[in-house]
Amino acid sequence: MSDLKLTAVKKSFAKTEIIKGVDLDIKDGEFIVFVGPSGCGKSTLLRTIAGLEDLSAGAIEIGGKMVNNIDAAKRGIAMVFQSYALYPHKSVYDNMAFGLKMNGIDKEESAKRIQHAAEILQLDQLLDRKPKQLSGGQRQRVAIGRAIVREPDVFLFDEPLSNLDAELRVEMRVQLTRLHRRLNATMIYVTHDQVEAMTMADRIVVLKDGRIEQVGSPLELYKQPRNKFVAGFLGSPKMNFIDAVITQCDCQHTQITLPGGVSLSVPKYSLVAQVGDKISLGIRPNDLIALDDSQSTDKDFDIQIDVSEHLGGQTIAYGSYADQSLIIELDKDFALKDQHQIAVKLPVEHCHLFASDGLSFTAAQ
Amino acid sequence: MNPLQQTAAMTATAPKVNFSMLRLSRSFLFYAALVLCLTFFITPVLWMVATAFKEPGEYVSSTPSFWPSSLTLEHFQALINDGFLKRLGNTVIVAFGATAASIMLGFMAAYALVRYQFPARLDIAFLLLVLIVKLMPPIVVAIPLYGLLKDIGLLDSLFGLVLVYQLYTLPFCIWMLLGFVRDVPLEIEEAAALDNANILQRLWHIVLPLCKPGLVATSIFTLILCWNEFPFALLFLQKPSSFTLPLYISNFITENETFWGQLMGIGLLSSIPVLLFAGFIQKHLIRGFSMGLK
Amino acid sequence: MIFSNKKHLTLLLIPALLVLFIFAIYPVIQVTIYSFMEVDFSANESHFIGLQNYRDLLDDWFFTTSIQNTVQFSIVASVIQVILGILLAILFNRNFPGKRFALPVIIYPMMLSTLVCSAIWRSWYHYDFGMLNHWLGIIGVEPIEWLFNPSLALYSVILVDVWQWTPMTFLIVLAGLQSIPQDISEAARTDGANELQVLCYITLPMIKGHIMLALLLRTLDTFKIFDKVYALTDGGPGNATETMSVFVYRNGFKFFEIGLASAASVFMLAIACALSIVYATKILGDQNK
Repeated sequence: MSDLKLTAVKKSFAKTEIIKGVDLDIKDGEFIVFVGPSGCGKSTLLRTIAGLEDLSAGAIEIGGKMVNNIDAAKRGIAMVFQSYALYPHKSVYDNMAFGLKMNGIDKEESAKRIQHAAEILQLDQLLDRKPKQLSGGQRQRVAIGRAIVREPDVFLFDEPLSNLDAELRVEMRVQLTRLHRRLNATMIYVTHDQVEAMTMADRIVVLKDGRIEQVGSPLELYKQPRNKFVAGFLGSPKMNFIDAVITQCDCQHTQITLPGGVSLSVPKYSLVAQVGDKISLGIRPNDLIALDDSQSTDKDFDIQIDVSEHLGGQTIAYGSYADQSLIIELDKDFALKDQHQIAVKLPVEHCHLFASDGLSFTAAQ
Repeated sequence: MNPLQQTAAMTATAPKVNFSMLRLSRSFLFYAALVLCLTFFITPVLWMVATAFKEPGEYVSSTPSFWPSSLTLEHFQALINDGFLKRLGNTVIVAFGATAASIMLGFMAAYALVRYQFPARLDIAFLLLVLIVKLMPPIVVAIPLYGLLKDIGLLDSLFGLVLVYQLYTLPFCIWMLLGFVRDVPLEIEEAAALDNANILQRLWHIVLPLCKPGLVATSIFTLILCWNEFPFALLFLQKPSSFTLPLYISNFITENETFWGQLMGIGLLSSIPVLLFAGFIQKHLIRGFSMGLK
Repeated sequence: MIFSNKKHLTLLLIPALLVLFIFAIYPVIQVTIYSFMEVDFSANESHFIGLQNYRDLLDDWFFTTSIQNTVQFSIVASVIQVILGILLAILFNRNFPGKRFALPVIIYPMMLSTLVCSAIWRSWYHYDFGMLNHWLGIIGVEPIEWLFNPSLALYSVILVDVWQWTPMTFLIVLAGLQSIPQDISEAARTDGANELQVLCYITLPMIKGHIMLALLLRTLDTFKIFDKVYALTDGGPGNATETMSVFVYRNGFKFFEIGLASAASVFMLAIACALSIVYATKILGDQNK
């Protein structure tokens, strides 16, 4: 069993508290991604799980056993570092063999494991090389191989793809997902890249300033972000936010008014909202509906476009409405004429409303 | 028009011939300066080499010649009869002994300083101590050290000299190795720790091999340092049979004023190992000498 | 967590600390104690006499002269070495055929033992048979008493120090020059600056740190000067070249004036500490950048 349980985990360096109390349950075999902006404490949290940093408070259990005071090497984990941390003076084979030797595994068994890992990662031809002689992607695979041969209960990845170029990153992403299915081990993966989080995770843990903002499957977080931070962090291009005010709020319906005077009827939030509350309306660029001339009577407002990027499959247009900058994703067939104005409709069912403290009304309901 | 523009204008209107003349004379000046400098630094060394092979009549003369007119090995013969090899051996023992001890202790200390967290910035205090010891004039502690060596019966012994040389070599090694240990990425050692390597295994399998170039460079510097050391040898060695080479030279200067052939013979023989390293350690020289190697 | 094991830390550090304590701290304490005592090693007795040694020291014309000689030596030698080092480094900061061989040749002197250097130069300075007087004779100049003329001897010793240690200041400055990205001086050239202007307004200000380092190191080193003086002049003629280190040596090991020599040692130690702290702040400051 290799489930993981974090209880009220805190970590401070000198007087600065980096992790401010994290509770988390990770099930056996799950692929968990810690994501957040730099400095949010995600790497520190991973290092405390690895045992590279002491806890300041709280408890970490792996497989039902408290490991707070157990040496990093004895926790049944293996870690892949951001810089790969390959032993530069050892060959690829010896890089993988070192950990096995240190753990008293005999030569025959370790040769078997290394051979197996090398096959999975297509390293067979490179076993005699030194890390210097490898490309970035190959080094990355060696680092993963070094973790695999240890046959750990839990794999920890600390931003392992951040040193690769974009193309290789996509390739490795797929390989890692495949590896997870194959090994069926618990994996914890740290990244600042929300695309990696969305594509690889069973569950995403969004961190900010040493606290968990939200935990859930990628789609859950995408569809029902608990607050404005999560909403803005996940999804690309980013969610648009428009300032708005609640103008009516009774038992029947709630109405909000956008700058420029447009009013919208939204589901009733009478329990949490009051007339006059300033709120933020969030809408993803691909949820905004662009209308062509024939439909323009349905429009809620017009966006003034100043830059548009044609990506082939779709077009991303950057513009503004009543001093609020907005991004809209257009279908490739949409005729973006010389006009710099697009009429759009706000589909109410896709709007997210956030109170002034950032919490989502939808989630609070 | 500012001076810059003036110069530019003048250059532009100057005839082409003058320009290339200017170039030529500039590169002539450059080479003249270069040759002058090289001559200044190399001539005494060349004279040392040449004189070691000269007949005495060629240097004890009112018209001394720079190059020998005939080569002789008599000075080397005389030196060997005088016990040169014994002193060479002494120097080798002291230099390698002191270096081995300092490299080991220095590496451990440097590692601790780089990797461990010290309470209350004690690491800075320790470093400052190391620095002050390295930079203080050795003569300052000569009197108490003399008493100390006398008390433990190590006066006039090579082992005693190895011990007091730690005063120079240990701070030097700590300071040099500090930089090299710092260059070993922390993550590599963490990876080894996760691979279940304990501290000794990490030092042996990971940190030492990665610091090897640094250890070699530091060892060479430390060897040279001990090889050339004079004041402590002068103060703590008394029997001529336990002399090191610098002390041998000093004795020679005062006792045999103009036995230059033999003197330069010692100089040449004792410098060969050091000069051979000159090209090899060039790239580490700055790091080494910025610690004040002497 | 891996690096918080107090036992490991102690075991790693104790041997070095022990050695430093026995061979550095303990002697420093000891010499400080001696400086307040009258010590007679032969009779194996000593007693406390307060500041008497320090009073004697400051009244001692030999000591004040040695301070003056040391300061003069230190300043003149360091400054010359730094200036020559800069000039040499500028020469070497461009490519020319044979540079690969010229560099080791330039640095030979500082690799040699000070005693070897002194032996060579002592021979060169010889009044009757030395090369210097021989060459001077060829151009018709009277022979010179290089080491026995009281007003010249110190400068003769300085010349040897310049010969031996200019290579070091040269290397430090050269490292500085080579750390300047080429495009900066190219940019200045494009802006219309000539070579001299690039040197004065761009290059030299950028290697100020290296120049200061070289100056500081040479000052610290020349402050200790002992070997060279011992081997070339033994402090003479009279006490014209006696430096502080030589003073301590003569009083401590020749005249057995342990108290006086110790007081002089403490005096030197104080200066060395002050210089070390300047150096440390510079080094640590550079590292924190």
